[in-house]
Amino acid sequence: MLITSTVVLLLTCAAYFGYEYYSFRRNTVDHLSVISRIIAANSTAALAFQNTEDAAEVLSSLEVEPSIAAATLYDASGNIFATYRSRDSVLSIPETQPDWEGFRFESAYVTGLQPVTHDGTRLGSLYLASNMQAMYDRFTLYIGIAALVVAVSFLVAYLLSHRLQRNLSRPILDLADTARAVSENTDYSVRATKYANDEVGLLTDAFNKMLIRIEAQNQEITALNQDLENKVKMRTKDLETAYKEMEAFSYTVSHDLNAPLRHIDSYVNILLTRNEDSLDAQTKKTLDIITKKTRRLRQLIDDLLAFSQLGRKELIREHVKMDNIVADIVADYKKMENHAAVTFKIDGIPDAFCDPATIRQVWENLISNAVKYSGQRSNPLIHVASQQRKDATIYSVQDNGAGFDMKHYHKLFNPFQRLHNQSDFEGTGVGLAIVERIISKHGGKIWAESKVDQGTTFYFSLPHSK
Amino acid sequence: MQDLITWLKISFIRTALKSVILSLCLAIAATPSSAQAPTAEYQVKGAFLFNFAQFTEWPAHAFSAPDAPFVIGILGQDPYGNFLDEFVQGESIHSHPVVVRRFRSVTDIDSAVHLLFVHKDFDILSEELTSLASNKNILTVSDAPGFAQRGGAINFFKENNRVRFEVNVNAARDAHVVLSSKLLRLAKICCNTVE
Repeated sequence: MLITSTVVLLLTCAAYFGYEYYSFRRNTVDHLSVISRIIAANSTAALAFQNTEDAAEVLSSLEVEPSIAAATLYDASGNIFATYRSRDSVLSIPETQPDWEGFRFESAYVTGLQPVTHDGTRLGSLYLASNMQAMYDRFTLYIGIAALVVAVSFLVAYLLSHRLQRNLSRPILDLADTARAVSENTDYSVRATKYANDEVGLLTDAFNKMLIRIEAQNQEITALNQDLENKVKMRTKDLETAYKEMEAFSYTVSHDLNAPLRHIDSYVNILLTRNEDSLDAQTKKTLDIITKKTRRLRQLIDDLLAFSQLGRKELIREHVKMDNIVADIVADYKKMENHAAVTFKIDGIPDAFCDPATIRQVWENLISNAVKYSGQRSNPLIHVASQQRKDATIYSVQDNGAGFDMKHYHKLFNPFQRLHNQSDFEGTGVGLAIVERIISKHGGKIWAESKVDQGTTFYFSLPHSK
Repeated sequence: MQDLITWLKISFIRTALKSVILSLCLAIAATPSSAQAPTAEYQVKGAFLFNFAQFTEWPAHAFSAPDAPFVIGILGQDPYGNFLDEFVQGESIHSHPVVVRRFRSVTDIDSAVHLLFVHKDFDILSEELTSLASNKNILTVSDAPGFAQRGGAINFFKENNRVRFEVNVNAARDAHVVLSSKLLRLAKICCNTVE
């Protein structure tokens, strides 16, 4: 902007001076031409009548024009006839009449040669030299003044624009800086400085108000978050305490219940063995029932104990050969006479990275369930298989046993929930709950599909090791 | 062609004037005049005669026709010889061709004459001068001392060895001719008070 106006100013000055210089030269020539014609006209008689005094007098009238440095009249032969010099002129005058006519610029002078004629007869010539030095000096002064004006106006314009820029740009730059600080440091406590009550000032105010609002909201959110976190911590602690208490309680209860039950079992057994001959059949049957029920209660308590201990146990993961575990369990079943009819079909079972003890429990539970619920079939079939997924392996245990109604599925994995009568199938109802807990501790899932009298398939997935 | 003639004329005038000035530098001896070779002084005077005509305006009726000649007359003995004839050869005054005519007496002046040089030895009366001026618009010139006082228009005299002239303005006015102010600037004015 500043450069543009300076260039325009300089160009204007240059054009102005160019025009002035040209017109001044032309005016000088015009002026000199008029003077020389007047002097020439007045010199005709003096030349015609050879009167040098008169000629000198005519020329001396040039005194009124100080810029004329010298003037000379040449006679018809071209010799000097009369001469005039201004007081301080040092200009040399041509000894004989120059052979040109008109006007020409020679360094600091403009010289002219005007023919002197009367009635068509040439009587001589007038030579005039006008000093341009004064004009050039004045011109130099003009240029100096113009340069000074340009320089001063440049300075003033620069200072003005500098000040304007400070007044105009600084608030905006400040605002931008503040905005950047806010977004980079997410520090909403900074404020933009307001410089004036103009539009930018209004913008700054609005910006600051926005910051105040955001800051307030931020503090509110932070406070709420903090509150929430504290509440969560408190609740978690409460829960942990309650859970521990419950575990301790259930452990104690199981343990304390187990001991008297063992005693009952032992004493009933002693009673039976010592009085085998004296007891009648009815009493024996009653004592057998007591033993059975006691054992069942002990089993229930053991399961409960296992279930409660499972929460506290840490998983120790390692590479586990799943097919070995399955083969072990199946081999145990094959040794038992009452399960000789069961056919096991085992497809390739891939290895897993898991806790071997608990996973063994899972397999034992699922296989024992399958054996148990297909026990009433004439040709029980148990099919162990697997599927590979992208991020997990799915293992399945299928039987062709009793099955269950899928409308009770939601109760399947709850502890102490049973879908069948105790008289049909023995069990405490804790097994599947334990299985579900082990699988979920491994980060996997367990689910089942079943149809009444057609069989059940249990699936469980184990995520691939990281 | 016209340019050539102009050039010849200018160069002629130049050489003529140059010789006049050179002659002026010499002491002018008052040697008797010869018809063939005028003295330097008369060469100057001859040139002056031509210049007087140049710086003087005649009334239109002084010429019978626009192309009528301008007549320079010489009354009495001719001190110029061929010089004057050669000087005015091909020249014109106010666009009239110039001719030189010579007269023995005043009565000989029958046709138009515009400028009349009267030899200093020619005895001319004041009345005759007045008559020539008033009736014939003749500008009279002479180098006879007291010529202007006697009613002549222009009178040569010498000052510091230089040819100068005095003018009787009344005589010029009688002749109805107008002398240029430039001419009058150089002249010594006499007899202005005489009516």
